[in-house]
Amino acid sequence: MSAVLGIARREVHERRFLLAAAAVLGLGAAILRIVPSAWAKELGESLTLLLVLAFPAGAALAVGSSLIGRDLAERRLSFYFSRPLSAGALWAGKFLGGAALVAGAFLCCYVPMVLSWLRDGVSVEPQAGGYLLLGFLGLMGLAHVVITMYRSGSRLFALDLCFGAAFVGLLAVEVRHLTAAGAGYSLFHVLGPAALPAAAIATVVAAAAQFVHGGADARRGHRALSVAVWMLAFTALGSVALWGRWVLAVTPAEVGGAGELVVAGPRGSAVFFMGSSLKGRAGFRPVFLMDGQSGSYVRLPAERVTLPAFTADGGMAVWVAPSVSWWWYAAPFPREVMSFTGPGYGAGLAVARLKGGAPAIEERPLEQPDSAATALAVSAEGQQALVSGRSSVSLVDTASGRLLERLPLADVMAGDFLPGGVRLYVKEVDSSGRGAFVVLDWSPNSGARVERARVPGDSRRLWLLARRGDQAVVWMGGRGRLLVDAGRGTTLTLDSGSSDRPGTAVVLASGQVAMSLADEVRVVTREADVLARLPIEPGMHVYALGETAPGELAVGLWTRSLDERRTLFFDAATGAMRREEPGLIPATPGGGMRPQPEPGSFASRLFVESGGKLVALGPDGRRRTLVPTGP
Amino acid sequence: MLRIDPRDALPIWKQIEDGLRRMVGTGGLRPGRPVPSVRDLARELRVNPMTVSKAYQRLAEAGVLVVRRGEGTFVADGPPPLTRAERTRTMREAAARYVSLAVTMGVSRDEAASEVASAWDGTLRSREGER
Amino acid sequence: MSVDAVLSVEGLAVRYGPRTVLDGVSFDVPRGTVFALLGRNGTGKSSLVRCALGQQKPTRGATRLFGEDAWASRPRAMARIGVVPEEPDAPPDMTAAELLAFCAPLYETWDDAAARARLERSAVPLRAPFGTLSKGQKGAVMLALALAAAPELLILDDPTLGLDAVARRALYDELIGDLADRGTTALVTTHDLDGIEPIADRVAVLHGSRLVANEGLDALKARFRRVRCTGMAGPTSWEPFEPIATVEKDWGREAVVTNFTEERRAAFVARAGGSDVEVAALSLEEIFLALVGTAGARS
Repeated sequence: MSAVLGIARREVHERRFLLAAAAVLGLGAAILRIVPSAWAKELGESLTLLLVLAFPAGAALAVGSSLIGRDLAERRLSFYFSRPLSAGALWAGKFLGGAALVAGAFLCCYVPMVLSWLRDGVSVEPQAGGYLLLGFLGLMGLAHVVITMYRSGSRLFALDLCFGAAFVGLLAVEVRHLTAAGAGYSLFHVLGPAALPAAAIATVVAAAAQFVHGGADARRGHRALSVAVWMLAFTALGSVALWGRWVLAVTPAEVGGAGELVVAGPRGSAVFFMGSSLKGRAGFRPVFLMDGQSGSYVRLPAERVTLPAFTADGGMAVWVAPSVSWWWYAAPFPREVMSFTGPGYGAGLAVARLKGGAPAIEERPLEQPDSAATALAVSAEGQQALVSGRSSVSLVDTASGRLLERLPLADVMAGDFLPGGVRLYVKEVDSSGRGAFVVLDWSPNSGARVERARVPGDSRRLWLLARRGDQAVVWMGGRGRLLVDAGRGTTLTLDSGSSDRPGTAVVLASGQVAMSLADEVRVVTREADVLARLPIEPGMHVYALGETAPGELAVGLWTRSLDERRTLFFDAATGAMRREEPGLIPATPGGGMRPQPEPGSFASRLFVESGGKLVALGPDGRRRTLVPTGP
Repeated sequence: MLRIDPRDALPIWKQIEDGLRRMVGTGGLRPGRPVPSVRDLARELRVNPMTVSKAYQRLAEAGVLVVRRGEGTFVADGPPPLTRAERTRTMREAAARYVSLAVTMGVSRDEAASEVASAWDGTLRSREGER
Repeated sequence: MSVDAVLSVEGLAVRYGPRTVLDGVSFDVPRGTVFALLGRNGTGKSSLVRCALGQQKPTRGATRLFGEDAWASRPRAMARIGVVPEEPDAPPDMTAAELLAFCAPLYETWDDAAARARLERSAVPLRAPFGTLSKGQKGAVMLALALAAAPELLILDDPTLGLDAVARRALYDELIGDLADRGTTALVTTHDLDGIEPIADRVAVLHGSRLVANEGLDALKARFRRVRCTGMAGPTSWEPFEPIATVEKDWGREAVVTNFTEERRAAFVARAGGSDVEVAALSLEEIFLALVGTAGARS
């Protein structure tokens, strides 16, 4: 033991200048951050980042390559082996010394930085330091391995280079495969932290094999090292590949079935849904696209799925698939996975054919994509798609992704295809800050724009609650709920009560509107006469409203704890409650982004049970659970 | 003085032994006086101490040197107590060696004998001188 | 294998790819002897020493230290062995004092005072980094480190290489002193044949990846002579001698013979008839040159 410590002490003593430099730089950077001058602070910031990452990395490389490297180059290993020192003791002592140096250099840079951050009130993740240190130790081990292979003078080095290239290539392929499938977060934030200590341990084990088997014989040691390194590396790679397969094989049941975010096609039985649980496999939460009839499903990476738009016959769904770079996942700070309904940074248009059986998906690159693009609508035959972006709305050819027409119009919330053009629902803010909700008809061929309706108000508090044909229900904070008829160009106030919650609404087939208010669901006529008031028990909230059959209003209720969910069915004309379905709420959350499903369609009769099971309610009231059967 | 010639056909221990004998004989090493330690003589001659040790051992067995425990090695006080037979044999062996040396060099008997006589005289003379 | 062999080499073979460096070398180093291993450069002496020290695994055969396999028992064996390598291999930034402090806890018997005395005798500054010392001083430090542990076996790999006369003398002084004090066994490889000749007990000569001699120095010197025959009426063969390195000159011929005895000399002289026969003893260097100068010399 004392031999090990003696050697370790020697290694540290030999490179004590490294620790001195680290201490000086670390303190210097910290002091710069404290000094009240602005440029000093900036200098301190950049110096700090450089220090915490670059300096320990450089130290790790220098230490790792010189642990044995220098002795090998100068043929001084025999000094140790001519003394009563076992190979294991020599290895342990050198690595202990090296680790102490790397840890010391890292702490000298890291601790002053953390202290000054805490002083500034920035929160620091406690594990971050540990992972960084493990990463640097792994780097040290890697440098040792490389330099040993290079300096031993054996021809094995060429073979090592080949193996190294093969390993890196295969690893890149696997990483790309996993990130393209959407498991990048799992890879970098679940497996990644485990990989760092594993790599560090692997290099240390390989070095032990080198010393114990090879002793002072550099060539023999190199052989042992190479065998150990490549066996460990390719085993690890194989394990990662198997792990990846396992992660990607997650089933809907494992992610808690269907969460709240469910989108169903207007016809047919295709359903998009994301899991309700955050767990999945290693945090992998894909979006599932399932055919309700057969139960066969496809897994889609959540980051590459935005809100889909369907053709009227439900045979095709289109969405914008943003491109996601693998290095997004590798950032040291946890990145929030984009939600299913959020905007995307357009790069591709995904087209899914849903006619019967398993869905088939293709992707075309979007020509000149706008940032934050979402698909709004698809033409009836599925040939064109309407895509809105941060600063424009575009007409895109679905077969090729080519840009057909573009209108520089920001904040287009929803859209429809009409014969001869498209209808756009726009949140407008003019230069003086005044807002309005505008319905606009646009003919891309002629470029003509016709304004159908305009509702001035606070566009910051504007929600599109429901849409059916020409009618749209809009909530504007301060003005209440309004019914906008684009065909007639009229605006009708349905309820002027000011509330800070938009609630939900549905336009019934009869033309009446049902909407949820604070403590009741109200059904009003086109003339804003109240037809019925349906009280809501205290403690329950209205999750969604829907028309499950012509004249039948479904009110989905749930409690905060999500244990209690119920749907009440009312006669829309009279307000009489027909029946109650316990344990179910309507699956589609509504909202005016998409046109409402037809009453009686599959989408209108799709419910979610607690536990995430999707249930289709038959016209006879019988429940049919949609069972995911596999890809 | 004791000199070692590595090129000589005689083993080094023999050269040391003969040299010491000569020194004792000529009076260079007086009876009762200490001889250099094995270590010192080995270092001086730059030879293996075992070699010196072997020479000393043989001389001690022959009675030329005396080892006193705890004190060291000394020259014996008187001539070595040899039996008549031993003395004769030793002399005969030395004579045989001397003669074959002379014969191989082609030296005549008389010349060889006269060398013996003058060496004898010379040795006795220096012994007298030392007293 | 001798019962009391401190170092034992058995059928050692070392190959680097197609090149055979040692081919079936065997010898024992008995306790208390000074064993000189001689050979020209590139004959595999270094490989042999590395195998003997358990630092290299031979292609075939084995080396034993104190009866145990050298490779397997190396750390244990090194506690009883002092090594002075051909190239001083101490870390260049360590001072002599630091080297002593580093090595001391590794050994059970460590005489720090004696080591310091040795260094003082060789005028080695204790606080100068090893890399800044002269060659002689470096050698003195390596020897001091080796001797300080009171080893049973000393292995000196060409210890006088590159040393001037003064440094060489100092090294032999220390070595002889240690031999006298403790009866250490020593294995010495060297090119300084004149210096090692008075000290060596046994000699082995490596030539062409094999041993062409392995015996006591006295016995070796006793059987080697240079025989010169002048005059034309000499015998045409060298019987009963076994000659190597024969030379024909106009005044006659001479040869180095490997099996000299007085009887054989008398027989040869008898056969020589009228020609003059001169016989001269050979130094170790001359014996070595005769053994390795001829290609395929017979042992």
